[in-house]
Amino acid sequence: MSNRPMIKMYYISILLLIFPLGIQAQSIDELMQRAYLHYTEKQYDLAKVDIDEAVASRKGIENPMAWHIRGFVYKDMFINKDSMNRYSESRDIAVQSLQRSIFLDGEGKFYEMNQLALKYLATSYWNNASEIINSPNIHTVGEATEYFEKFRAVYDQLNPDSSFVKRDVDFYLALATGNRRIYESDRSANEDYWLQSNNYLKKVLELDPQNFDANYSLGVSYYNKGAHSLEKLPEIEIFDLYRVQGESIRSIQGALPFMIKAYEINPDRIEAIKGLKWIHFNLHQYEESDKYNQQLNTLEK
Amino acid sequence: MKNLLLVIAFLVSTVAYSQQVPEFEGKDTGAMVKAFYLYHFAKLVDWPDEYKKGNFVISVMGGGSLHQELVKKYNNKQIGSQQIEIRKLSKTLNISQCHMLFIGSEYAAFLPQITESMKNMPTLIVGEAKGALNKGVAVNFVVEDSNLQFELDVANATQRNLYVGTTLKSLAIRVQ
Repeated sequence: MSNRPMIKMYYISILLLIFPLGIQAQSIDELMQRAYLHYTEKQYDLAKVDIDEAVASRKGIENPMAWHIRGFVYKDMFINKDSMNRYSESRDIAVQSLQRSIFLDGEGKFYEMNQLALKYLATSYWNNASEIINSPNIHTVGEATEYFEKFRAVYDQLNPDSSFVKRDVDFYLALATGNRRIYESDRSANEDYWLQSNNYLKKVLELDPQNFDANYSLGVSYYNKGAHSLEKLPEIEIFDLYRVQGESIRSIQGALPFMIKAYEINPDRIEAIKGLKWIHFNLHQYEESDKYNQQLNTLEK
Repeated sequence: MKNLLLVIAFLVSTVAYSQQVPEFEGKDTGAMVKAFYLYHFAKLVDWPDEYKKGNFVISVMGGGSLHQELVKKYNNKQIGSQQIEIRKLSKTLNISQCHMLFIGSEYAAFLPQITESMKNMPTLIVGEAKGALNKGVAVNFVVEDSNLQFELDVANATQRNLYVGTTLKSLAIRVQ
């Protein structure tokens, strides 16, 4: 309730900006005025018709205020009618309109409000990506990247000087987790998600090669894959053993460099020492395995 | 003040991403492969007729989690009409009748005594120590290029009235 007078003041200032334009571009002004009034009365469908017509006109297409109003009309349509629908077109149109308004708004008259609205919409993209990753399933997990990219495109525009590495790293780690959970729900049917999970972890390492979690997770991922592939042994023919065993060994060998790197990054992390102990053990490198086992015993005392 | 209120009007909370490092599944893959081999040795070796009734007994002395792996995955299987029975042995020279005996590397020093004490028994003795074939063992696990394979001494099997089929011979990395 407390912010209503201020928002009302903002509405009035918008009206004052619209009216003086009347002499030169009467029809656009009328359309903007009508759209704005419908908007303040929460008649978004009516506002939409007028403002779409305004921005489609020759003069309206270059008018930052028209695009600003359009952005707000569509943003509020999204909030009031479509907020639970992550496929909402209203949100995308709102973002495009606000971005165009910023582009045309050389004087920066609408910048602050455009920016706030864009931040709000960007955050809603972020939240969609989070929701998908936190409850991953085969049909939607691929969409998480789409929403994150939309979030990032808006946020990059608003904060051109800020570094995105931390946020990207967090996002890719989360995507790796989501894809891994799908893989673990049915390892034989969902093997592609194991690859996808590893790809996201490798993206993290491109951004931050010293990232412990990504190195450790890749080590575990390759080791688990190799170890788990032998679970099917009782069902195979003996002639297939060398192939199955070879695949297992290669995967476990693939785990070693990542686990060594995790250990080098943080030699006191028990999980990395435990990982090296088991990886060496399963590669039949018993002396190396014993070395890490002793270190583990010392740390756990 | 105006700005602050407008910011409040636009506030939306963010949902945190759920990140979790994978859980390390510490498995003894060597034991998994050895268990698989033992099961197939049982299928590819022929025992005397009097040993083809009752349970098919596999005794395990040492070998880390091999016993556990056998129980978990092969205990409910059969060799012909014989139900597999897995026995775990502590260090002893007094070994009761069994079809197959696995002796882990930690007991390698006792191989000559064990094989001698079981001289007349039709038991397939399996080891995992360097030079074990020269100590009376018929099948010995070896690691080659990180892969677990096995070498075979046919005479050590034949002396115990065990017939080793051609399939097993063809799978061995060395036959003597």
